[in-house]
Amino acid sequence: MSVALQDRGKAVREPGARTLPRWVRARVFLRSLTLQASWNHKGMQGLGVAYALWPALRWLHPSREARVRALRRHLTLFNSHPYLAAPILGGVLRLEERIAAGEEEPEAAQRFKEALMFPLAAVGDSFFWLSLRPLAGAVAALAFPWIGLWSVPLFLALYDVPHLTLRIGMFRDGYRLGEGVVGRLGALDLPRAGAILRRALACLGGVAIAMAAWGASAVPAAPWPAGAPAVLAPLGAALLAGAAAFLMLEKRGPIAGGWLAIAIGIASALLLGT
Amino acid sequence: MSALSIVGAAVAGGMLAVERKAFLQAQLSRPIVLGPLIGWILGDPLGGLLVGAPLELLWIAAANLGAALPQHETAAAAAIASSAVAAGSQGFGVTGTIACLAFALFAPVAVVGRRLERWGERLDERALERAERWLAEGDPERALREHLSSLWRPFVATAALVVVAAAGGGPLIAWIDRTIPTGLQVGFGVGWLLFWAVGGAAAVRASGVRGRTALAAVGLAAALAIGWVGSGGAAP
Repeated sequence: MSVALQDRGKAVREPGARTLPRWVRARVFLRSLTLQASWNHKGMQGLGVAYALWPALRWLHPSREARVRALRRHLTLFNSHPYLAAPILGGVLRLEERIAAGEEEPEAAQRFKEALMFPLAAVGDSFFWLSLRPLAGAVAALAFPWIGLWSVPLFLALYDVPHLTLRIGMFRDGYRLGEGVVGRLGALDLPRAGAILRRALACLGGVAIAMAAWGASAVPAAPWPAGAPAVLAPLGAALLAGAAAFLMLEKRGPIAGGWLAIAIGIASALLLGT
Repeated sequence: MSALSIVGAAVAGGMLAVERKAFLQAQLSRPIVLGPLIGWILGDPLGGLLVGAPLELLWIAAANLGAALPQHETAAAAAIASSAVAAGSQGFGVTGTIACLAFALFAPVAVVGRRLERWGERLDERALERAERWLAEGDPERALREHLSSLWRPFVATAALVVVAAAGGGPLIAWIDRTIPTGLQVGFGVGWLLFWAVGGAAAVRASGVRGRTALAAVGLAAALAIGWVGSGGAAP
């Protein structure tokens, strides 16, 4: 029994074709975790895709010549987000079953990969790399003064629960639904969710600047002068560091930002006469 | 701090460097996880987190987008955390001064790491060409072995870095910390706290949303108000 590809994400059983056993699919998924191990400018993740799919190709094609032909079809340029490559690989498994059964032309798998890899790369980069991870990192880092080492499991829970749920679920859906997985991904509306997370991240950036001021005001033997305006000095230093970093980070990078913080700290100490 | 714990930290650092891009990518290699883990192996998890948390903010925008490589935050955080914890073990634990000195000494590793990663990509291009040749000769198993042939590179480079940072950088930082004047120590201490402000700016910039500075101002004002009320009207 196999599952035909349908646009609206509903699976329909068809008689007559071989299906991959669960353990082979699990091996493909586990091997896909190394997708970027040999990333390079020529084939990008292409060798990783071939490596991941190999157990399935070996199972579907009994003759060595057919296996080599199938592998050659996949040893081509491929580049997508490493997590959202999972639904693509799941869909490719479904197509490879049909190709092996003679129900689909061999080029179908390549067309499927080419159609999805770049759009899903954009969605994955935007949601995981530029939204969820920064937000999880910021929440955990800012919670550190209150929850100490618990900020580590907090970060991993905030990030990896959605990450692994989506990665495993989408691989399964890719296999089950084929091209229909696009509809499933669309329903998640990751770009909109990412935009909301990034707004929260901007707010937390302000919180971090306030925390710098609170922390700096509590440094033993700190240089802040006594009296009414003195309460504003650490806040001024934090705002100065934040504003200067905001302006220079894009061109100069994070290391220069760190040196800026150190320079303002030392200047505060020297100018205010510690 | 024993040689065994340094070796353990080196192995952990090396494995996390592999996890960063070549395997899983569950973000175990981020400074906020790597710092306390290396700190725990070296005997001071909280010291590792004291270093890792601000570094997480500082490198919050470090993302591997397509062919663009960010600074190697994992290698830098591994070196900074291991040297800071090693220095702290010779006195009263990791302080802001020690963290700043460790950053000043080892932060450039992030740039060197990126160059090494780029060089590794060129070597992987040759691995792909070898794989294509093996496949053309009808040996798919050998072709696919090329895929994992470069995993040792980030492992060895980061593990070696951790050993150098913990065994060499730690004592050096502890010595500098003991010899610099008090005023400078206080300046470094304040500087380390200002890393949070710089990290906050990095977060605001990384958000990339319209009106991000206004949103940051709202966050800043809310945090100051909550802190002021919570502390009964104390500074700042």
